Amino acid sequence: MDSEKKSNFQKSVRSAPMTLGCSLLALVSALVYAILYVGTTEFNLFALLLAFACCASGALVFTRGRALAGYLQFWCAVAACMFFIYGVYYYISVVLVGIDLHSFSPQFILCAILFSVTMIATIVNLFVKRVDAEEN
Amino acid sequence: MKLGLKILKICHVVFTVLFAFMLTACIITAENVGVITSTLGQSTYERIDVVSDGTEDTDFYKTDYVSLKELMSDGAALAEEIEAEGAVLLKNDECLPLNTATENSVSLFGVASVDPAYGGEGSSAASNPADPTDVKEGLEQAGFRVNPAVYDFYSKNQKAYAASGYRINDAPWQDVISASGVRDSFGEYGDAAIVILKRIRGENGDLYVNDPSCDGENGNYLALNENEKSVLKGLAELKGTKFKKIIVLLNAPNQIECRFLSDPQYKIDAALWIGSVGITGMSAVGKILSGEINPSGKLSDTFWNAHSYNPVMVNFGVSQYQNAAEFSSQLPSSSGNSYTGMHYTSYVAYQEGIYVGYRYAETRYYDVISGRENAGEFRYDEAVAYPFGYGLSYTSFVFDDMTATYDERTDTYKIDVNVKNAGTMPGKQVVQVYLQKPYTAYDVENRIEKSAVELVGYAKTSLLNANEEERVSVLVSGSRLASYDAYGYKTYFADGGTYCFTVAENAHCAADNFLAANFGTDTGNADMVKKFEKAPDSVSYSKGITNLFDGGDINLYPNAGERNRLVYLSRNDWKGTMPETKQTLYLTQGMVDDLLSQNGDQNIEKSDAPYPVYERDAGLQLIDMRADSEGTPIDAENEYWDIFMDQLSYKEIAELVTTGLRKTGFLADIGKPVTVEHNGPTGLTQKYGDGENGLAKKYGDPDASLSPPYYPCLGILASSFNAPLAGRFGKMLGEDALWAGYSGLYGIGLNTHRSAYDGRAFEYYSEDPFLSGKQATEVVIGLQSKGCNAYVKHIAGYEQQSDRVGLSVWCCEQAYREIYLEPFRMAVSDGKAMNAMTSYTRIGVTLCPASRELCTDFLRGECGMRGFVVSDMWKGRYLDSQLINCMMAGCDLPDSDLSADLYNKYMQGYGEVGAQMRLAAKRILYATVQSNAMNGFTAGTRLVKIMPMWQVAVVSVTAVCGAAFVLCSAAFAVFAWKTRRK
Repeated sequence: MDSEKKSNFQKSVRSAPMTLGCSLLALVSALVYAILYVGTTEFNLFALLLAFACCASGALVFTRGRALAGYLQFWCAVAACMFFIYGVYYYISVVLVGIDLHSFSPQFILCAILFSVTMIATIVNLFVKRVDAEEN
Repeated sequence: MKLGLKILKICHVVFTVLFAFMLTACIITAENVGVITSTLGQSTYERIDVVSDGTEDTDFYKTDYVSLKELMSDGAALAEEIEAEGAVLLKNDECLPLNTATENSVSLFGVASVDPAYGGEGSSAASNPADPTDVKEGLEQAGFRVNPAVYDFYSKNQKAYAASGYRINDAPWQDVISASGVRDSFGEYGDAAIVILKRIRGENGDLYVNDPSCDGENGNYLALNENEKSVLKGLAELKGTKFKKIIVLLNAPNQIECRFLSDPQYKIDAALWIGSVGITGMSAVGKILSGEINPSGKLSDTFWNAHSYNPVMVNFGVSQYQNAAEFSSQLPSSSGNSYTGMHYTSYVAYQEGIYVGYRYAETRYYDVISGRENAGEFRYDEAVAYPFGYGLSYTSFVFDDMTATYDERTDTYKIDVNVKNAGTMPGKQVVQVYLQKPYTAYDVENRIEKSAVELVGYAKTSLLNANEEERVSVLVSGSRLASYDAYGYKTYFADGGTYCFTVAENAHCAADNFLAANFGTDTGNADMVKKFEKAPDSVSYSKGITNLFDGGDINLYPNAGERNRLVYLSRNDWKGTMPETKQTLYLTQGMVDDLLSQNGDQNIEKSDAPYPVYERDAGLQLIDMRADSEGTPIDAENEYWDIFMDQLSYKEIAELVTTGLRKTGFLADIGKPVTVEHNGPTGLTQKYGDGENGLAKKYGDPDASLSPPYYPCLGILASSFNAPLAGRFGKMLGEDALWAGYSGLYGIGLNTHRSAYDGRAFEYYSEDPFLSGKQATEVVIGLQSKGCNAYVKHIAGYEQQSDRVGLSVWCCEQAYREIYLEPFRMAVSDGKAMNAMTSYTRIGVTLCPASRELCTDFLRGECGMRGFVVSDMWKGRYLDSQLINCMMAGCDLPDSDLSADLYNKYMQGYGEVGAQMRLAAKRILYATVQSNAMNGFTAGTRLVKIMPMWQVAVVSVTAVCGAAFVLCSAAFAVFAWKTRRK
C-alpha cells in the first residue's frame, strides 16, 4: 500500500467510524438472521438487503463516494424494514387466523432487537457530525 | 445554508420512512381488503338492481330469527342442551345427584375451577368470544353454594397455577390448604369436594405422550401430575371429616387416563366427563350434579386406564425413514415452521389396521374369552376403564322384546326393542345396535379383518318417566354387512355365514351378548342377539368400487422395494401381529422419485387436446344458473352450465381457481359475489358483522360486533348419540352463517379419534366411523338447509398434528375405507355435503390434495360430491410448486390468495389443464349459486367492483408520501451537491 492510499484509508476509517459501526451491526443482524432462519424462505430478502447494506456502504467508505455510504445504509435498512414488517405481518396473519403460537419465538425477538438497533443507528448516523467534515 | 440542508435531510429521512411504511401498509391492507372493508362497514362492490321492482322474493334461505339477540340466546341454550345430552357419568357410588336442599355447599378444586376448558385452540377458536358461563356460575344457577375461600385462592393465583403449553401445573395441596381461610372453610362447604381436571390443546400440536418437558406422570399429558395427585390425596384424607363426597369433572376433549378414578387411595365417589363445554355448558354440568338433568351421554371413545394399552400408541407420532439421510441431497429441506415446511421423510404407520378403539379392545376380549387360538394375554379390566358407548344414568333402564327383521326389497334390517325406565327418575336411554360379522377362513386368507362388535345404528329415547316404556326402531342398511376386501376381490364383499345383531348398553355389553349367544357364556344376554344367515356376496355392494389406495398401503405400493413390509394387526394372530415397536420403513429411489414428481409440472405434458370455449357471451348471470323458469334447481350436470361457462375468459377462470383463503373470488361480469367461507367446527369463529352479505349487516343489528356462540367439543355432541340434536346444531350453525354472511363452513371435522393425543381431537367426533358419520350427516343437512355449504375436513388420514405437512400415512385400504373415509362418505353421500377440504398429509407418498384417487375418484366418483375441493390453508405457500398437480387431481382451489398468473404458462398447448381449470371453476360457481351468497340476487342484479373509501385513503396517503419522498430526495441531493461544490 503506497503512502497516499494508506493516508486515504486512514482518513476513511477516521472519517466514518459510525458508518463502519453500522455496517458491522448490519452484518451481524444479517448473519444472525441467516443462521437462525437458514433453509427457510421467510424474510430472506431482509437478510440479503442488510448484507448488501453492510458490504456496499462499507466499500463506499473507502472511496470518494463515502458521503453516500450512510444514505445507502439507510435506504437498504428502510427497504429491509419493509420486508421485515411484511414478514411479521405474514407471521401474525397466520396466528390471527388461529393456527397456533402464543408468542413470538426467541429467535424472532433477537432478530427484531438487532434490526431495530441497526435501523436506529443508521438514522442517527445520518445526523452525526463527520470527522471529514470537521477536517474540511 | 447548513440549516436548510439539515431541514431537507430531516424531511428526506422522514418521508423515506413514511413512504416505506405506507407502501407496506398498502400491500398488507390490499391483502385484507375484505375483512377491513367489512369491519368499516364499507363494500368492495356495488350491487345494482336494474330490473327488479323489489317484489320478487330473493331470500332463497330464510332465517327463523328477527334479531341477533334472539339468535344468540337460542344458540346459548342449544350449547347447554348439547352438554346436557352429551356429558357422560362415568362413576357414581351413591353420590350423585346432590340434593341441593340438604347438600348444596361445595368446594371447587383445581385451577380449572376458575379457568375451565370451554373450547380448543387454533383455527377453531372464536375470534371475539362472548363471556361464557363459568363453573361457579353454572353451579350457583343449579342451586349450589360455592366455597368462596377456595375459589378466591384459585382466582388470585390463577396465573401462577395456570397450565402453560404442555405443563399441566395446577396448585399443590400444600399451597391450597396453607392459603388464608381455606382450611377453615371446608367445614361449611363440605357437602362435596369437586375437583376439575382440565386438558386443552388445538391445532398444530399433539399432546405429549412421554416427554420430560411435560409434568404429567412420565411426561404424559393425559396422566395426572404430582400437584393434581396431591390435591386428590389431600381431599381423600379429609373425606369423612371435612368432605362428605369427592367428585371429579374431566374437563377435556381428549381422554385423561382413568385408572385413578378407581384407585382406592383417592376415594373418588363420582366422575363426569364433560369435555370442553362451550359457552354455556357449565350450566348443564351444574344441573347434572343437582339432578335437574339426568345424564344420558354415552362415551364416543373408549376410555383407557392407560393409553399404552391402545395398540395405536406404538406408532403414534412421527417416524423417519431409516435411511432418509441417504436421500438428503435429493429431497428439499423440510425445515421451516409447521405450516410452511413440507416434510418428505416423516411417516406414520397405521399398523393397527381397523382395530381402532373399541374395535381392538372388544375384539381382543371376545377372542380371549372365546378361546381363539393366538389370542394371547389380554386383561380387559386392566386396559379399559370405560368402554365405548358406556354412560351411567340416575335411573336404570331395561331392554327387552328385541326383534330383527330383514326387508329384501330395500336390503334393510329393522331392529326393534322395548326400552323401559325401571328406576325412579325420568331419563333418556340410548339404543345402540351392534353387528357381528363372521370371521371366516376366506377373511384369514385374504387379510380381511372383522371387529367382533361394530356399531351400525343407534337412537335415543324421549324422556321416559319411571316405569314408562318406549319401543325404539333402528334401521340398518344391508351394506353394513359388507367389509372391504383389499387383497381378494378388491371391493366390498360380504362373506357367507352368520351375522348377528344385538342391542346393548355399550360395546362391551355387546361383546358379552355375542359371547353368550355364540359360546353360551354367562357374561351377557343371548336373548338380545338375533342371527341371520347370508350367502357370500361380492356383487351387491361393489357398485363398481375397486381399490383406490394401493399407494397408501406399503404392501401394495409398487415402489416400496424389498425391505418395506407392514404387518397389520390381525385377530387371526393377536400375539404375533401386535405392534411392539415403531414400524421401521425405508425410502427407496422410486419413493423419492414419486415424492419429487409432485413438485413442479414435469408430469403435465403438452397435448393437442382442445381448450374449452372462452368468452362466448350468452348474456347469462350466475343467478340464472340457480333454478330454471319453473323454479327447479339446475343441477351441476345440466348442459346449461356449458353455455354459461363458455362466457368466461381463461383469465377469469384462472382468477377464480386461485382466489381462496376462506373465500371464493369475485367476477363482476357474471355476477359472482365474493363469498365468506370460514372456520368453525364448534361454532363460527368470526364476528356476525364480518360478512358483507350477512343479515347482521343488512339489518344493522346492534350486536353485529359479537361472535356467535361456541359449542361443546364434538366428542360431546357425538356422546349425545342424538342425531336430531346434531341436526339442530347444524341448523343453528346455518342460522349463524346466514346472519354472519358465511356461505361455507370449514367446519365438519371428520377425522377419527385414532389416538387421544391428537391436538385437534375436540374438532372431531369419535373413534367410531358410523357415529362420526351419522352425527355429521345430520349437522351437514341442518347447516346446508340455511344455504351454508359444508366442507367436510380434513380428508384424509389426518389423525395427528406432528409433522403434519407432508406426513406420509401408511395404512391398508380396508382401514382407510372402513375407518378413516367412512365418515366422509356418509356426510357426502347421505348428507350431500357440498365441499371438502383436504388434509396436509399424504396417502403413502401422494399429497392428499394431489391425489386424484381421493379428490376425484372417491369424493366425486363414489360419494357423488357436487361442489369443490379446497386444500388446507396454503398461506405458507408450502404447496406452490404442487399447485398444478393438485388442480389436475381434482383439488379445485388452494386455500390461499395466489396469483392467477401462475396459470399463464398453460394458456397454450395444455388443453387438458384448461379443461380441468374450467371444471374446477364450474364447481366453485355451482357451490356459490346454491348457497346463501345469492340471497337478494335477481336476474337483473349486476355487480360493479369498486375501491372502498378506506383503500382510496390509504392509496392517496401513500401517493402523497411517495411524491414528498421523491421531491425531498431530489431537493436534498441538489442542495447537498451545490453546497459541496461551494
